Amino acid sequence: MLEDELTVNIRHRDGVAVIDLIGDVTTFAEEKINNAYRQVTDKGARYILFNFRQNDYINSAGIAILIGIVTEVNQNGQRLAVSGLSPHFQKIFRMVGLAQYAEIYQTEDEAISAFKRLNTIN
Amino acid sequence: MSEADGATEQIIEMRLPSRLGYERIAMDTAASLARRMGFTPERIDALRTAIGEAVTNAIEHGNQADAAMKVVVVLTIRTDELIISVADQGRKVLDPAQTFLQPRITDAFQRADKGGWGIWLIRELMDEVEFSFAPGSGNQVRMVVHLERPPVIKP
Amino acid sequence: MQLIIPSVLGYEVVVRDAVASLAQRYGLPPDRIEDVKTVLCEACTNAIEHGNGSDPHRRVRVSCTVSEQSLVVEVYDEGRLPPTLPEKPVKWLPIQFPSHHGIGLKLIVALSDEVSIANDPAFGTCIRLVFYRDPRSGIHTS
Repeated sequence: MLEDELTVNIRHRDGVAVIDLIGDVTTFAEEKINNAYRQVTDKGARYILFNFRQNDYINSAGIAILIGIVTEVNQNGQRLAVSGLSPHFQKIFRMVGLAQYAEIYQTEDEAISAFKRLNTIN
Repeated sequence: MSEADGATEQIIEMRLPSRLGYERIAMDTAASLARRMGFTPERIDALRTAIGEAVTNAIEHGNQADAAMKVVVVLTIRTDELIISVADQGRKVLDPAQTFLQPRITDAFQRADKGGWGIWLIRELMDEVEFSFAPGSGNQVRMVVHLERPPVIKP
Repeated sequence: MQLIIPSVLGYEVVVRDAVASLAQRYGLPPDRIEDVKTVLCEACTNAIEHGNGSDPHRRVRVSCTVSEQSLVVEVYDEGRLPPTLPEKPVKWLPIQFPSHHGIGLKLIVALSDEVSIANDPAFGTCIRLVFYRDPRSGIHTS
């Protein structure tokens, strides 16, 4: 009965697959996040951005889900970045080691610019 | 109220059903109290995450998500610290060895189970952490956050 | 869910935030959550000050129950009398809208979907507040 909803939104911007994660990231988010990742990957996405919105709760189960995504990103040779995280959750990402595999940006625009620079180098 | 080291302490108690979602209420309650006590936003965020993990463990593991069982959170307010204890009713005993694991992301990449971060996060974020088990009650974790006051310049 | 606080002014804020958190998870809209916060603040302040005489040794007990229809919150004080029975007979005034509560109780009644108050001479007062899940169900008490 207690609501614990995550809404997931997929957009494409400048060659980047932007996955908006709106709300809490806990065990209940697993299917939605994995489905979104699979959907963009099946369409050949090389650059992926997880854009967190209205988020003030990511627990250890949510961290485990994101580590699962990073595992596949590494295997598939994709690049993953995250944006919109509060300073606290940026700290958690660094503590856990996720920051080494998913670049952290403050905003979506910063992330997109960074991906574009990567694209021109490649 | 009881006396401790000459300073008085006050207690707030919460009893929650063992259903996922209620950890958010424990987190918001503790954060409200911590704000009132004058903790910094960073310490409040750390405390929210730690208590969230502790209550989630109590719900899922200790009480096996049986909604009829309770998670008891006791917040002890002292002048220079906040003590948070989270206790379940001990359906499943937490192995003490589990509370000292140091998970690594590179190991997680190799394993099917990417989890095991909760207890480690509690230890990393809190100033003092103690896990115990009392037969007849259950698993308990006791966490302490020290209240750092800005230095006072004395004339 | 239950919450127990000492009868010290300031802690009503913690109860307010706890119940607001529950109301949010329950799915009440933001403006209704603001009403819940106002009502809980008033009810707890009354319990602390009037019910328990701001005695830090006395406690305010808050009990919340969610169902498909509503969120029910009960706020209990422990009464001003000592825990043992008084020696002289005590005259209990009817508890319906006591005048000294003034605007606080009017606010509680205006903002809650249902309000009732019960009193037990030995144990104190309980105010029971109901917030409907669907704002259109039922009639606002006035």
